[in-house]
Amino acid sequence: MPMSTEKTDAKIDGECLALGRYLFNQEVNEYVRDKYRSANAMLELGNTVGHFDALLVSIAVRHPLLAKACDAYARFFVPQGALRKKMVLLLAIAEVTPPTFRFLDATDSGGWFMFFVRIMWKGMGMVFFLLPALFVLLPLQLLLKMIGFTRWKGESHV
Amino acid sequence: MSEVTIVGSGASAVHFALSVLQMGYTVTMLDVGYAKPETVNPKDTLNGLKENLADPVGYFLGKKYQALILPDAEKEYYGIPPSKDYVFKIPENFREQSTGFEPLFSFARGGLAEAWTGGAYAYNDEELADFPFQYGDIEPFYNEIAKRIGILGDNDDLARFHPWHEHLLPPLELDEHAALLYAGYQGKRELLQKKFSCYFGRSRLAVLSRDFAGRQACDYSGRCMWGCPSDSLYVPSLTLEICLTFPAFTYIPKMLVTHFNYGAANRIETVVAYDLEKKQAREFPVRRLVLAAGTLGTAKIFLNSIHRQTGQILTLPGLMDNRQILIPFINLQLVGKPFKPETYQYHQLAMGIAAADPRKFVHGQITTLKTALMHPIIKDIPLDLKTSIFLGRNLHAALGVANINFHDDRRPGNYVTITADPDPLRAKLLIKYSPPARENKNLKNLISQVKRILLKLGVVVPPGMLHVRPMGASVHYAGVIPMSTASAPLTASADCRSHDFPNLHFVDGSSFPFLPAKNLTFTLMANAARVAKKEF
Repeated sequence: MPMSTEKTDAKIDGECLALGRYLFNQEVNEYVRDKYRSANAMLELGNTVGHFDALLVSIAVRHPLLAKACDAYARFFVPQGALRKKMVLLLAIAEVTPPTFRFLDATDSGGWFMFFVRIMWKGMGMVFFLLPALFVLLPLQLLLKMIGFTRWKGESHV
Repeated sequence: MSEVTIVGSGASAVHFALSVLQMGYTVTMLDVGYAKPETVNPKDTLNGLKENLADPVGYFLGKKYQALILPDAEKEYYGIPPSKDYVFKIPENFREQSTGFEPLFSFARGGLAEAWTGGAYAYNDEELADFPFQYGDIEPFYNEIAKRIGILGDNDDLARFHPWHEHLLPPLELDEHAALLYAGYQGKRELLQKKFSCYFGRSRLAVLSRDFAGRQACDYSGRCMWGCPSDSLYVPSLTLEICLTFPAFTYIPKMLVTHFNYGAANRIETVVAYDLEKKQAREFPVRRLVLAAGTLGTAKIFLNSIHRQTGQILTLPGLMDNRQILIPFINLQLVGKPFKPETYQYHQLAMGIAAADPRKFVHGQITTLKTALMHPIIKDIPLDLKTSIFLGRNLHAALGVANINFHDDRRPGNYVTITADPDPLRAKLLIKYSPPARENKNLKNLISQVKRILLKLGVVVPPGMLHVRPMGASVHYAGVIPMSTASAPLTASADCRSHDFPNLHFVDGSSFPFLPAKNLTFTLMANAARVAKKEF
């Protein structure tokens, strides 16, 4: 049974808030949520995804640490999947909307040295999250593929 | 009946029209003419738009999110801004099918150059070697066009490739990144010239650095990509506005010209257009017809006309386009530095790589990225998205793209033709293109050379982000009805008069016998003015 519009909207709003907190360390405003919701519907980002894709989104929105693991995994193993599409959509909306565009246009202080330290730290962080994600998500992805579970059987939105 | 009927309103059409209007002719222009939307908040800077618009997402990404580039999209680094969608809108009746070519068509008021980046470079004598005239013959018309539209440039190292003509305005203020690159070049000038035959200089741009002919100088609003709000970046619709002030000029929009009819001695008598509003064909009597619908549009009208009258399906060989490679780079000196969005946004620097055969000169335009949307770049960084955003924020000021352009020759295997259909509106334009032999090897060598040049300037090319654009992407189409001194069928005279139809002229790229690496638009305009002077 498809979810009611109200329930679906609330779920998409929650997804937008969770991904916004993860990507930009801030609550996205109502305008961004409204645009994210309309783009999801217009671009059918929730309607045509596979079972694993849907699962990845539902895990990512539970906690920023889980989002980090799913994000790292998706970059290498599901690069064109629903999670990355939704995150890129949110980034595109945020980069032209106040106040998030100011965050995206700003640099971190500290110059070259601190940039280098930060990128090393973040790179190590990505590997740290990618490894456990790999152990859990890769077998799951292969298993779902093997049993031919290509469509999310339940809801029309993930 | 007008003395001259022009099809199209692009760069060549409007300058041809203005030239003959100034000579006292009566002119009718038939055009589809999709119009530019109203400029929003003309006083706002780019960030001002983000702050002040009620729906910034609708403006920057489009109501249907058409400028959004998702991870499964082709690797392009700029989407077409929604405010320029009208430039690429196609009437539903227009049909084409291409192999090895991804063409863009424009039916906009002002044509494809409504969305150009303003590169205005004159061809030199070597590049004109296949043309039936020399630089000295077209120079007065380059001067005339420069006087009409305003072109800026500097007498720098690139003047050896781009002839120094009259009426050049002083260049714009460089942004910080472009200034660093240029200073880097100045410091290693001799080495780069000697080792790589590489020369840098200021882009020649159809942009105003001071108020000119009723238009304002560039005010550095940072809105270039979304449509210059002050008209300092020249577009052909500005010249169309001037044409409209002449009582002898009639502009008829919403007309998709399909073919012309001819009688005895192949004299064209009427031109037929499909009225997109009334949804019916309309016939216009003509004395002298000038096709300026763009190389592909002109070819379709020409082929349809012959097919309709003789039943023959002809093929026009020699289609050309500039291969383009986008090479994104990072300037290590600007890592972690903030950027200033209130600057000129398109290429301010150009580069040239000389070749043993001067016709094979390679032309590059260097764009430092400031206000371009970042998500198309960030999504391609090979890290998780959160880390990629961190990189994007801290590398924004350091990012740039070198757009490297290559020349093209007329080759028989690259052609346009049409499908057989008694209804010219239903006939499909067929395009076939194959790159030259050994192209891959040549591109590989050149890419490696450009990477080494950039490295000398303190700039690195991140792996996996280079993009060889498909043929058709540069929108510099030319060559299917070439100028020729021999009076052969399906060619044009030195002054672009058809060798098949005595009262027909081609003033767009269709009559170019060679396509140098540099943008052809300035030469299209100058050649149109030359044809007007020589033939009318």
